[in-house]
Amino acid sequence: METKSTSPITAYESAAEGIDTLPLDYNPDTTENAPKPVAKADRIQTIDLIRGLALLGILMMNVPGFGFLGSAFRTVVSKPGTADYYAFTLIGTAFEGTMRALFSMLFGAGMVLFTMNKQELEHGPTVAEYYYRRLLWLVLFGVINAYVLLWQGDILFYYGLCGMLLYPFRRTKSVWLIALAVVCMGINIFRTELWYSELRDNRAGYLTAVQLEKAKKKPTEKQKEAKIAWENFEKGFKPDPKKDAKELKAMRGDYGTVFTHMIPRNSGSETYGMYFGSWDMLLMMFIGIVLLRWGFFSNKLPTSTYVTTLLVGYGLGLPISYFYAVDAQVNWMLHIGSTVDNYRTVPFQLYDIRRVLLALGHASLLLLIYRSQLVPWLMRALTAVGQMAFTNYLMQSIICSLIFYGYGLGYYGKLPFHQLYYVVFGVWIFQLIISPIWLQYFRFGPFEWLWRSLTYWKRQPMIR
Amino acid sequence: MNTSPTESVVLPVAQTGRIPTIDILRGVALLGILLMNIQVFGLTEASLQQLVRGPHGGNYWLQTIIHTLFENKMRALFSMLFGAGIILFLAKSRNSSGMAAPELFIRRQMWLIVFGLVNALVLLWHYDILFHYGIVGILLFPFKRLSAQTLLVCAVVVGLIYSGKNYWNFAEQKQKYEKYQTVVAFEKKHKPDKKTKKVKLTDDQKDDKSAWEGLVKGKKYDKKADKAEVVAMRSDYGTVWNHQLPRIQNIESAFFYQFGLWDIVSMMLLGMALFKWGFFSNQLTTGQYGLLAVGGLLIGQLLAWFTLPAHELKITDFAKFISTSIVPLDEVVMPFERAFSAIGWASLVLLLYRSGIGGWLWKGLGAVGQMAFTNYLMQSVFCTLFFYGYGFGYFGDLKLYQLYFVVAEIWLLQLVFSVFWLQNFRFGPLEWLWRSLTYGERQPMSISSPTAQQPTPALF
Repeated sequence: METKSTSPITAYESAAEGIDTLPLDYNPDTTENAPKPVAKADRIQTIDLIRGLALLGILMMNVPGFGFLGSAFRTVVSKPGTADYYAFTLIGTAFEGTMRALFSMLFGAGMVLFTMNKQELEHGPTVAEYYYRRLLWLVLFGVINAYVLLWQGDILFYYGLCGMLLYPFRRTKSVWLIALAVVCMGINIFRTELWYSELRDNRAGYLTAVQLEKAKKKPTEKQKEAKIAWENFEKGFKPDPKKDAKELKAMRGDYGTVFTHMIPRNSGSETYGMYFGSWDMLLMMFIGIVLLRWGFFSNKLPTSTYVTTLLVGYGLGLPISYFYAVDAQVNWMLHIGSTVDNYRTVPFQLYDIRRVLLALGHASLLLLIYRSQLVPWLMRALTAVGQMAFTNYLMQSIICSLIFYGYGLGYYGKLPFHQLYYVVFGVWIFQLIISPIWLQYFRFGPFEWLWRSLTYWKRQPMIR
Repeated sequence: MNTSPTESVVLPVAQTGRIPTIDILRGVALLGILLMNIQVFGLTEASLQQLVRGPHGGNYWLQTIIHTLFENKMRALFSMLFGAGIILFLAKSRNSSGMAAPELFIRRQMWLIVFGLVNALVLLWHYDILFHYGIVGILLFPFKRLSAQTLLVCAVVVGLIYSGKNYWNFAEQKQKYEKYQTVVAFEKKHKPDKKTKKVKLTDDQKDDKSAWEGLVKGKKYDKKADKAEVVAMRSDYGTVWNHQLPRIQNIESAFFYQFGLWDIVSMMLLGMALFKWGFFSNQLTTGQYGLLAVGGLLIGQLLAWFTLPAHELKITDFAKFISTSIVPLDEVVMPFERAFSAIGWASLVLLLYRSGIGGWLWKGLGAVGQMAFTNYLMQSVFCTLFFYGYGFGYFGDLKLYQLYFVVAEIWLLQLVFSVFWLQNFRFGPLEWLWRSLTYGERQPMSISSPTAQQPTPALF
């Protein structure tokens, strides 16, 4: 890697206007115009702002993964009226899945922006190569996030791989991208339906088999198989103190123990999760590209549009969400048998639609607050967080793993559900303060710098 | 001669813009792959393993010879040529449709993934490689810029990772064995409980014991499961589809992640390196090819025969294999052993080609290789229709040696068909489809029709 002394970035037009504008002294063969990271002045502020919101918001959904025993959710939802229950309901209704949706949308938008604001050179790597290099490094960071920092919910791996599929679509007409997003949603729905109908078959077989056995008659082979399948499935919902004890012991062990414990989980999600679950992220990325083009993220739409989006998003999204998060999910966890009996189609089919509605609602709300200039200091801080989102995301992994896992403070499984959110607030305040200060002195966050230097294979200038 | 400027600087390019030796080698690899695939198309894995466990008759020797001479080598050669093809493809500049080579490349790969999914989920060939090749091609695309030496180093590193993962897998199994041994020793020392007649064990100890016992049992021949497999594969399309689905999903996800990825990446990187050295385009001296042929096959075959006992012990007596081995020799050596043999075979083919013997054979092989995509899918269609229940239903019915009559017929068919097809058309039918989808426009098909583009650039 060579170190290059800084030269002033020569594209002056604000990114909100002509992203492809060339400066007056444009010379295609100098390395000054080679593809390189975008200067701060040219970044779209509101995209960073929304990304900051999404980044902080994601922690609300991730923190249980870091520090809460999965099987303890049953206890939480079975006690209405407690602080835990309210926290669960609030998160589940208003936020679950929405922040990740926003993050994915912005990722899609960001990757397209990456290809748009660079010049193709006559010689040397094409923009496409930079694009794929960037994503290959992202996948590597994701693998490190999962296997070294031991965050089982890493998304960088998936984003990197999904991003690789986006490139040929960057100039596709918006109408086709929306169609593709709908197709992805459709595939998800179709596969979930397949899984759910098999589950219902098993449940029906189980009920028949139990009835026959009660009447001292013999169930058929198929019914016996269904019965076993159902019982295996239901076992996952019953409390298993031995398994819990094992889990707690492993997570509160030293680094080696936690590492070994996480391997099957990580490899499982990086294989099956990617193979089955990437439709989810792809569809949001497509939507994000479309929204970018319509000027939604860059704050170019009239206030009335944002207000309408807010009202529709919350108006439709929140009721669906309440039904999904509280009603259906609580019943699913506590009364799995009767839930499967009563619901002809699995209630979680509404997941993706609800997420889009609420995500757009959140983004609209944020942009309206931004426009109203009510809390400029908060907006600035959030923008800084969003500009350093990559660093902040990895920082969340580092901080939370060190708070909860055994080789850190060892709080895994020790905090009641609502107290996890004290940790979240703490991290938020920390990141809201640190990010603007860092960006006062440096061009990028530390991991952003590393990522860019690796992508361009050249040490990037760091000091502002 | 109609050559594009970038290519003529580097390579001897024929009238059609293709490199004849690459097509020939690809033809060899494609026909060679069928030698191994036919066993999976036509027989259950269990019955193939039984050949090793049972009396060593003719079928056993046939299987063993194919295993040492060709297994994994032909696939390695195929992967190497695919890697070479990536560099060739990206050497072009913009074409008439206005898209730059990288964009075309990614589109081409994505369509390949789609074809792979069709090969697996519609034609029901669970060891489809197109899906994996499509994905790996996208991942390796930025590597084309590296020098041949760097690519070789990367290939070796990835090969070591592959060996390492095989070793890790083995080590986990060995650990299970050792835990089991501890429990057995514990049992021997203590008196059994009066009521249950068994020594009282903790939950952990019970887990350890059953983990190992379950593993060993899974490796033994299960006649019932074998028969059930045959019945399932000889059923109607719906049953076979349901039967194959979990297998396909596993191969496309977990297996790919753990082993397949490293397998393919190491060979593609090696292929890119060899291409940059002019190996595939017949640019080395006869002496060099001679050295590579003799050296490659000698080393490769020696390693293969040397690791054969380990490979067989794993099948005949898994417990003994785990307990007595320090490393899984065959698995750890395989990434390298097969590379040597593959290079050896390729060099041998090129030497024969240079000598000028058998001109008609090279024409045939070249045609097969030029239409490799069509021929690969054709093999899927023929074999699934021949063996599976919704076709002729010969699954589990033929003896091993009889499978090779089928192979010979398919080879003959593909050689003849490819030669005749390419006399009248520019590309194979599926090549045409793939190309049209990639470029987003219908490609000229008939050989006499003029084209605005440069001579048919290598797509594959």
